[in-house]
Amino acid sequence: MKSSAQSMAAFKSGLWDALPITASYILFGAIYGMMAMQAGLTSWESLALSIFVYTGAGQFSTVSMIAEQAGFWAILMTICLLNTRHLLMALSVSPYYQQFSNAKVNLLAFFLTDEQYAITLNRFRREKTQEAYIYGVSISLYLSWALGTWLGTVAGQWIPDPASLGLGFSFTAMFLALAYYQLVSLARIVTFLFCGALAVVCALWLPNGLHLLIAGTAAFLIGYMLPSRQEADAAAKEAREEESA
Amino acid sequence: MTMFGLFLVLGIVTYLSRRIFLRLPGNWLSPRMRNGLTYIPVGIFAALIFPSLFVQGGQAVFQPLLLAASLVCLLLMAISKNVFISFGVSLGLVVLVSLGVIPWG
Repeated sequence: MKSSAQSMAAFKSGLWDALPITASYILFGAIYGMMAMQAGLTSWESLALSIFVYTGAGQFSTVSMIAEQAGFWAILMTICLLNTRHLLMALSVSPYYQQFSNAKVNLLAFFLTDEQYAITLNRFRREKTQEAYIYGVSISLYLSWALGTWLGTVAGQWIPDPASLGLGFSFTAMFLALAYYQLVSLARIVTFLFCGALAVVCALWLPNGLHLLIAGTAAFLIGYMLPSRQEADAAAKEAREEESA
Repeated sequence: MTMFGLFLVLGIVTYLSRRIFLRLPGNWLSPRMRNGLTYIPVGIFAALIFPSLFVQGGQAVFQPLLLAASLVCLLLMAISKNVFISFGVSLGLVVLVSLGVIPWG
């Protein structure tokens, strides 16, 4: 009984934490829906892409490539490149998913998006991993994306242009606020700035999506090469002992 | 290939990219590996944030309004530690300037 109440509280907490992003998801989902209709997809096809594939950047790319009559392999390669970032995101949250059964991980994997990753990671950092919390965030974002898509297909002409309202900044603002919690040491701040500069250079020169993979890999290598906190503590203890001896 | 066939393949590829590394065998996670993994979000966040501020349509851009709003967001996080306030105020600033309610430049 107590466990069920805790799960419900965690689920509600997930819904609440995802709230700032759900409005943006609805709006951008609607823009996608409108673009998909313009690309010649039916309402059902537009909605099917949101329901079964559920990858914002990938969907925008897919419909614009369909509109340009790109071939199957070109679309598939673009999606693969865009998806490379998921590999690293999944890798970084994998320690928190160790406690879940394979069946649960199989289900939760479907909902891993940039925003879900950012929100849940922020929670894992300060509280124990709760499945109900991940579902709260994931379901909220998933439904708002599907709702936005549907709205875009039925009422696309009335949807305001997010760029003219400055709403494109909503994702940046959310990522910045959540990134703040990651910047807890000088090494991390320097890594953040270095990876940011690297990502900008890569975004200018390389195909879409690869900059995330490269910046994430660079950050991983920096973290891997730096001594872990346990190792640093052990080295400091050893040095103190040598000094006193 | 039908449209739904294409969607099915895209769905499978996307799902696999999310699932493959989501649960690694426990013995892979040495302290060093764990330390490396804790740095990945730093790189991912940087790669999500910086290009959105400095790259637009494949060109390098300087957007003072977005940079100012980003600083406001970080300052508010430092002061309040509240994601809602920092997100809302910084986004509100960009929207109000875009609508012409707050004069800029």
